[in-house]
Amino acid sequence: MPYTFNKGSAEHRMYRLVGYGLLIVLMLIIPFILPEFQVTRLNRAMAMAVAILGLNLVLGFSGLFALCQSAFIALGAFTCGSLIMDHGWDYWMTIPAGMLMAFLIGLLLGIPALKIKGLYLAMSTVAFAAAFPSLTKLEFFGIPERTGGANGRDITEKLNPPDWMPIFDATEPGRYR
Amino acid sequence: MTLFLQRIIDGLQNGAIYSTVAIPMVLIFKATTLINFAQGELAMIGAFFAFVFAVQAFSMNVILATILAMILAAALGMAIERTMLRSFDPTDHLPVVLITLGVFYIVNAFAGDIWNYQAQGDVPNLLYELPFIGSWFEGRSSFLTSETNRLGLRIQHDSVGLIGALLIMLTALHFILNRTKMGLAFRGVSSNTESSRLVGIRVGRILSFGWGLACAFGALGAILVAPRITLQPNMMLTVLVYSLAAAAFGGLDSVGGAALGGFAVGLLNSVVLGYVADVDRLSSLTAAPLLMPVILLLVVLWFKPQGLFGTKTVERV
Repeated sequence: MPYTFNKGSAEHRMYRLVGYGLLIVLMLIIPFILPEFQVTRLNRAMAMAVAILGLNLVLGFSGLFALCQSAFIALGAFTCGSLIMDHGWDYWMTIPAGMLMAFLIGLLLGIPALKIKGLYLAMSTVAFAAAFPSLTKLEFFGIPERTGGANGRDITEKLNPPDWMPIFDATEPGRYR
Repeated sequence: MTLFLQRIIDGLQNGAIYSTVAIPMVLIFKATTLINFAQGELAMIGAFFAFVFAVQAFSMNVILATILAMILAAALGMAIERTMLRSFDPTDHLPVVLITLGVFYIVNAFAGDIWNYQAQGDVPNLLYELPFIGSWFEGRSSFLTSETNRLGLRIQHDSVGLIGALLIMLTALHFILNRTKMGLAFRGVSSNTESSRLVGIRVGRILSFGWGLACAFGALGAILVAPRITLQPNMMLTVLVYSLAAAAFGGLDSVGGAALGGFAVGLLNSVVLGYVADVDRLSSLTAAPLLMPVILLLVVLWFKPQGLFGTKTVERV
């Protein structure tokens, strides 16, 4: 006997809140029960989920075949890395800068995307995504030095958590990194 | 002048590589009106099949290994078409694009898992094993080098072989598509699927046939280019970008257009980049920045989406 309740009703909202609460509890428990390697992998999955939210916005909601999300992930990461390593920025301050950079390049790429449609847009964006690793070697504005070429570069600085967070010790390697 | 001619020759040499991936892509587009993003990877796995037959496991004759690899690749293509793509409506682009991209990553990771991402060492060159002209190819790193040739041009021998093989491939495709009954049915399906179903063509079989043909020729192309661009799972990654540009430039439903588009992209890349960027970096195919084909792709799709030789699709608003 299936049980139904209406979307938007008080009951539905309650179930959703409980679901979110369970998710938060699960996330808080995970670092204590899983080995560090698995925690690192889950961290990576969550970071990817944030990036995929952007893909959902452009592909799911507006129906544009923009499949070059990976290029923008790399763009933001390279911007952050270069600002940290070459200009000595604070780690947290580079995140808005990386977002702004990806935003501007995305705006630029969006202009042709207005005209190209459907399958053709998929073609050109996949081509852009596949071409991106070699674009990091493009010799403008010292891009190869900043990105370290297609091999990438190491960010030696760690993302330090704010002091008020009680859960973990940042000196311990591998966790929350 | 010599440098200019050399750049044209380089462009044609690289263009042949792009054509070998663009042609199967166009074949699949003709059959099913979808872009097979996995085409480069399917060709790559075909080259690995031949590598296994010829070197790793059975040490067969290279020609025999090539034929077996082509058959296997065709079977793989047919299986992918039958099991993954048949049940989706090809006019709804989202699922089929996602599936071909998924096949791309699956095949790439699969090959990387089995043969790892290092470039394979002794890759046999099919051209050396050919019955009559193989000995002419073998033992020369290049002919018409500056010592033998007053113009000082350098033409790589296997590029000549590749262009020749490409012409043979095109002739064979032309024969298959225009002179056989299967080809007639294929052209019918590619022109109008519903009508050809009404006149009694088994559309499903024709789609399988198109995929098999495309994958077999793709595998042959990859086997031919593998000695030049090294045999490794990512060998087709950059080639894919050029081939997409080539297929779009020549027209997505024109086989000859794709071949010409490949050469055009190669020429454009080598000549334009040759004068804009550093000359030395052109020598390596994979190190050259891929900005050129992406820009070409955007320009072509913006102003002339049907390409040079493609048929224009008319949409009813």
